[in-house]
Amino acid sequence: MKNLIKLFIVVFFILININIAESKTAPDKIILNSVEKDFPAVSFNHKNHEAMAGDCAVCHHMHPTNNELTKCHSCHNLSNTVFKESIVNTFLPCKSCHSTYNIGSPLIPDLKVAYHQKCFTCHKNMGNIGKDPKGCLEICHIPNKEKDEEVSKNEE
Amino acid sequence: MKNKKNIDKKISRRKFLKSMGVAGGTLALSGGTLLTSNKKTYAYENFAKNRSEVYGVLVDVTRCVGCRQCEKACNEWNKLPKPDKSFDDPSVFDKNRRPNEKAYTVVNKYDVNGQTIYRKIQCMHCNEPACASSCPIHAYSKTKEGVTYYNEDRCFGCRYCMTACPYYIPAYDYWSALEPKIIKCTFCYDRLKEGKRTACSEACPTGALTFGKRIDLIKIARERINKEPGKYIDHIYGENEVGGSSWMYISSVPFEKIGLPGDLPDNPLIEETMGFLSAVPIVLTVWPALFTAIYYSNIHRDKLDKNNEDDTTKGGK
Repeated sequence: MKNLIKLFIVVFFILININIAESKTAPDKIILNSVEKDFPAVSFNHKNHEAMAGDCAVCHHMHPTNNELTKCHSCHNLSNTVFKESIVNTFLPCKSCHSTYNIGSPLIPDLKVAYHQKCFTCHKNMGNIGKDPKGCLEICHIPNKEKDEEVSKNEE
Repeated sequence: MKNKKNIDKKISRRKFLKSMGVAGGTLALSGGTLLTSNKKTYAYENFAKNRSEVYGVLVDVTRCVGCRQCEKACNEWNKLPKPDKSFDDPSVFDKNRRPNEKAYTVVNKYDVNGQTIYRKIQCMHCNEPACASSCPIHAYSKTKEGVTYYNEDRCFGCRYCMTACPYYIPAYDYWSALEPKIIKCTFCYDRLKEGKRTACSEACPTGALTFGKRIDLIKIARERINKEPGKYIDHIYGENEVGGSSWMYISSVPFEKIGLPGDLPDNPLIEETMGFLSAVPIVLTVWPALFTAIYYSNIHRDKLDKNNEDDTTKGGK
């Protein structure tokens, strides 16, 4: 009986480990299309940015500030799955916390603002971003026509 | 002898007038101070700027990239006429614009010390709005959410508010001949009542516009300034200007250089005029009565003097 319990415990931890290991596999590319109505979707190369950022926590910050304006429940009560995932210390996609804006906690921006805040830490003043309103279309929000051309060029 | 008597009379008259004038002036002034001493009796005694329900927007001009999505969202939500130039046409930045009958808000571009700064302009929704205090028929009111609300059904088009506003915001719909009205940002009052934030702050993709409770926003602004003191100017524009406003700005360049008036007092503008204007009715009622009384008393006295003189000359004969 004791052995059986031990076995169960071992199996349990192996399963948790598998879970963590599985969720740690990051996507190579993500299509960011939250403002697709007005701007072309961004094809975000997650793999390249992992290396550039060095630390996943640069973007996947879990507890940004110990401010009274961000109360624990403003993130943690979003849904059961979000809570479960966050306590086993996995990285959550931005949208799990930043999908809706709550007027009561203005420190948690909505999805497009969260993206732009992170992108702009490096990308502002890169090319014409931040200097010319059209700069947005140069590096990130590449119009579909040009995007197709670029893809075809790369393929060649 | 007669000459000396006349001189005496003149001096005494001057003295008399002087003393009466001083008395009248003190009376008028004391009336004025009586009205002004009760400091918080403005048009909106129910409105307290630090109450938690008051909403606001914090504009961080260092984050704005001039995409004009706020202008577009405002135009769409408020069903405003189509603009002359489309919202993705950067040539609108060639000259500075002001909100007008076609736009509640505009974004202007400023080149300051080599930095490109974009600033959104709209009604600041002051805590003690000068437009409202200048309005003769209370077409403006202040809601508990902090909205400086304009009621076009009451407005009769005197445009006093346009001259009173320290930010030059209210625009006039000159093209509408029959029902002209003032045009200004509504703070999306219809959305606020539903628990939504303003259309512009929802559309802003960069976080340049942060919507929330005004007291929270002041804390956020302070935090940002404290975190990067080299980047920001240590001032929250709109926290105290003319009594504070719901819209507040933080910036990396002096506020005067991005089109915000830099010489505004911290007191509400109504305090600048209230002392004078509240004295006007008292001056207009007390002074005429007072001076008429003085005038008639003088005439009466002159008459008595003349009679006396006549009597003495008759007696001398």
